[in-house]
Amino acid sequence: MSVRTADPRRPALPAVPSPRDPQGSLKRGLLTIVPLLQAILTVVGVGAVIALLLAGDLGLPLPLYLFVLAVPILFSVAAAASTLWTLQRTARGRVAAIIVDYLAFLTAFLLLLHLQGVFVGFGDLADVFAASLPWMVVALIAYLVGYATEWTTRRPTATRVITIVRYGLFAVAGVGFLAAIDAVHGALELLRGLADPVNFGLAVVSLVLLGFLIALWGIEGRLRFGATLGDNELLDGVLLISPNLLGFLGFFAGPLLFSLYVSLTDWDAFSDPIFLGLDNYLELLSVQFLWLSDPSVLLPTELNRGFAEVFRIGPLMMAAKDKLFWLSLRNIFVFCLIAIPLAVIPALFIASLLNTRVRGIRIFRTIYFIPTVAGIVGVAIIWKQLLDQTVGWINYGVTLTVDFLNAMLGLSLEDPRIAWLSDPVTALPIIAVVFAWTTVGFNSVIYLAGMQGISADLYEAATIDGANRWQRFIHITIPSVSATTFFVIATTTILAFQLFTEVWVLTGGVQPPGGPNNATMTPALYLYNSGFQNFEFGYASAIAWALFGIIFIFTLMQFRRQRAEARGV
Amino acid sequence: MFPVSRAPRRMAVVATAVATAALVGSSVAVAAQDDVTVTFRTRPDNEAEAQVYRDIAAQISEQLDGITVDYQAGGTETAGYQDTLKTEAAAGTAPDVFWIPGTDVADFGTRGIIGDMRSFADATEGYSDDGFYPGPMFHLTFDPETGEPGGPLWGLPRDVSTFALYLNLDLLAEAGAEDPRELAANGEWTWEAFEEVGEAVAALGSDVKAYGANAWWGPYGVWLNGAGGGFFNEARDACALDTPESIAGLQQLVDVYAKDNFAVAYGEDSEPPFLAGTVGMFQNGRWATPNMRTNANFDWDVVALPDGPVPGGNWLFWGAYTVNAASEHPDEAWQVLYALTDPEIQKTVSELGANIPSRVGQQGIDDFLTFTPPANNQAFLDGLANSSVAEGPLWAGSWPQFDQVMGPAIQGVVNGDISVEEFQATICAEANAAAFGD
Repeated sequence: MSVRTADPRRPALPAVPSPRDPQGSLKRGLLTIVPLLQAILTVVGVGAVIALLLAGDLGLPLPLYLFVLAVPILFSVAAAASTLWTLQRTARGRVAAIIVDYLAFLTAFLLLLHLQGVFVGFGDLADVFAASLPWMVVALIAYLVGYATEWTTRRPTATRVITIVRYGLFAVAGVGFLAAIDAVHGALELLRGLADPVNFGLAVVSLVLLGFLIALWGIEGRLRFGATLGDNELLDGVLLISPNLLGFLGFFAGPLLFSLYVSLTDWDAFSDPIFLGLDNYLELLSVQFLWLSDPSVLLPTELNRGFAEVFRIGPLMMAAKDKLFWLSLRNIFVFCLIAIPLAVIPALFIASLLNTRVRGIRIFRTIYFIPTVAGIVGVAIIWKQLLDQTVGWINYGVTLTVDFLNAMLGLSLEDPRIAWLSDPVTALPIIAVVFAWTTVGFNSVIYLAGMQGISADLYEAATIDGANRWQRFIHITIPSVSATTFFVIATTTILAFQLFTEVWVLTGGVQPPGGPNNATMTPALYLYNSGFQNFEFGYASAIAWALFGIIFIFTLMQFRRQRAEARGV
Repeated sequence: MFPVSRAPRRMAVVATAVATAALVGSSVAVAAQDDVTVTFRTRPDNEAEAQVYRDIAAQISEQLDGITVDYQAGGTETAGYQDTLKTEAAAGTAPDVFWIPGTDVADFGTRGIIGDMRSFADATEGYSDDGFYPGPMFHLTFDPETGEPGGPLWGLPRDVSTFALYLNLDLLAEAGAEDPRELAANGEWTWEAFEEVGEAVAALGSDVKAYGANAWWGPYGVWLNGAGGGFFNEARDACALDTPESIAGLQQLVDVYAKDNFAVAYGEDSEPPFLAGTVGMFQNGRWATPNMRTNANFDWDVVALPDGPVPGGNWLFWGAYTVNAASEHPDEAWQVLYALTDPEIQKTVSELGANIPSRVGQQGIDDFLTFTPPANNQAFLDGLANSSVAEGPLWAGSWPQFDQVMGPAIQGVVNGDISVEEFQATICAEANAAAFGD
């Protein structure tokens, strides 16, 4: 078997540890028994598969059970392969062993943390942070003190004193921090947890696996398995993205697939899910159209049982099994029609203004971007106060204006006293205005980036040809930022379809959110109500997937339109 | 790098070993000394209320041997207090003892989130269901299997409350209106008298309103109750919003809001304009009192709600302390729960002004009457005495889903988007389908 040598173009390797180095000996010892470890992990994986098969379906529905079963099967296959390859001392054996050991280590370590109740305490982090804040300030001061050495480079004594003060402050901050967060008590809790045999076993397994990982990853491991520096770079890359990748799989892709399964069930999060097939979707999408011989009739006899009227236009009546879902769809389409132009068109003009070289333009760019970075809940609360019918500043301004006009022009205009958020006619449009206000700054920045990529030659040529500012804007700027426009419209549409927070804050409080009379009910809010208030998670998941389908179709349409425009069709 | 000799390294190893041993030894000692920690959560309206509960938690920790109460201030109703609790319960991280509104007891009970405390209560010396207001206890001892009260014990009521009208006495005097408190004392405080007083206030100008109430089920429910109607049938297993009595009450509500310049627009928060001095009568519960004490810069008091055709239409609001069914320390959790309903603890909470003690007994009433302003605290007690309708959970269906149908429909009627006739023709079909699966 040939041992691959390092690429001569690569930087020189660090010195190989001496055989008498005790740490090196330990690593070499571990490396010798790597195939044994992989074989043990294979047996553990196979054992888990057998245990799952013997345990039956665990009360899980078949698809979920198969998914759970697939995890140890895949692990066992990977562990078996790594056993064979590490016996052959190949580089791919090392890679496979590192991946398998890494996953086993993470599983054991996270399970240990879970059993120790570490994740349950996350809610207390805010309190801990508040208690430790003064000591963090001391640490910050220590950090800043370090900068003083910049001015004492030619005075070693002063530099030494500052350094001592700096590290002294760091030490004080560290001790204070540990005391403030009650670190001793926390450590004692953790140690106490290790008295449990299972926890202790998991801790030992984690440490052993960590040891093997360090040995495999190090220079001894690389040399033993004939791996190149390129292999190490690959592993480094995989290691670096692994938190994100595992996070994506665990917290995004996994729940996404799970919600797809849940959408086919009746599940309240407390009892076992009942598989329903497509019933949730059928309930969601069942509609009935009636042509009424007498449009004044309130409850037509032809109406299917369980259906309720969504709307009627003259004699045409639309009813649905789930009225609220269709109302929410109607609302969100109306909302998009108002909000998207409001969030996109002004952004184009604002970006055009911001794309000028005048003194202080960066300040203006910052100002326009503030609504984007401001917390949406805080912004919505302020808007809610502004829009209050009786004590709000907007109506106060309207009253002053009406009084002024009446006094100055001798008119007798009536103060409209608009109930912005409690009148079904105005509630949705005003939420669209708030949405646009929070979105337009971000869109402006995107447009600004697009505009700064337009060649100045084009404007210069157009100016020489006699084009005025408006003509340059229409015939050069707008066509040149068409790709940006597509991006802005697509992202704004997706955001608009997911409208939730603004409605929750602006219309909630003294009445259930989504009012008045469901005029601002959106699919995302309805989804929340179904899931977290009614605890119909199966149905809520079906709503989520229906909403995903709608957003997907709209985005696809926009993509196609963009491509057609790009082709000049 | 500093050179490290072997001696310090050995010392470091020894020191680490000693420290580890000390840590392990200490942890055993701490484990032996530690109390059982019972986590406890309520939904405070403000930091002052949260602090009162923290103090109470400390007081109970001292009273109960071997138990430490860890208070957690929950989010507000609009921040999804109950939604958060249910989600935590599903994840197994809900606190041991928590407060929930009366309407949610069935939802929490049928899902197995809250435990049956009957066996613990029976083993507690001096405990009796009769020590609390019977309205809440009916629901808190309701057995969904038999459909009768007197079975399990889902929790104990923290407090009771009822609606009153908060009066801007300066505005009423300016309008020359009769004093509602005197009318009530003379038994003349009826819907008609309410309208007369209101019309006098409304005549003060377009920027003044006679009446304000918020748009949730409580305020509009009293109009339906006052006309002899209600949300549900007697068995509470079907909608009764379309009965002639309920419709009469709804019509009265619609008429009040249809009067020129009479009421704050339905759906707007009525509290800010009342505090700003532009509303004559504001309908709310005892929980609004602390805010009035702090922010009302005018002469104010309260009066009981006016009587409709059928007396006793006011609500008896209540909320309950309950125990997490998954609590690892149910016995200790029960002890904490029971201690929370101790008359002295209830008095401490009641002094905040936000509620009325849930224990029946003259001492509690006498104490409550001293918690002024408002001067006319008796109005709340009269409201309680006359309340025939206890806020109640829906054991046979889903209250949130019923409310999600009812609230928007009522708002539609009051705003004029839906006629009363259309409401009557369609509401129960929709509400029954949503809440009872009919």
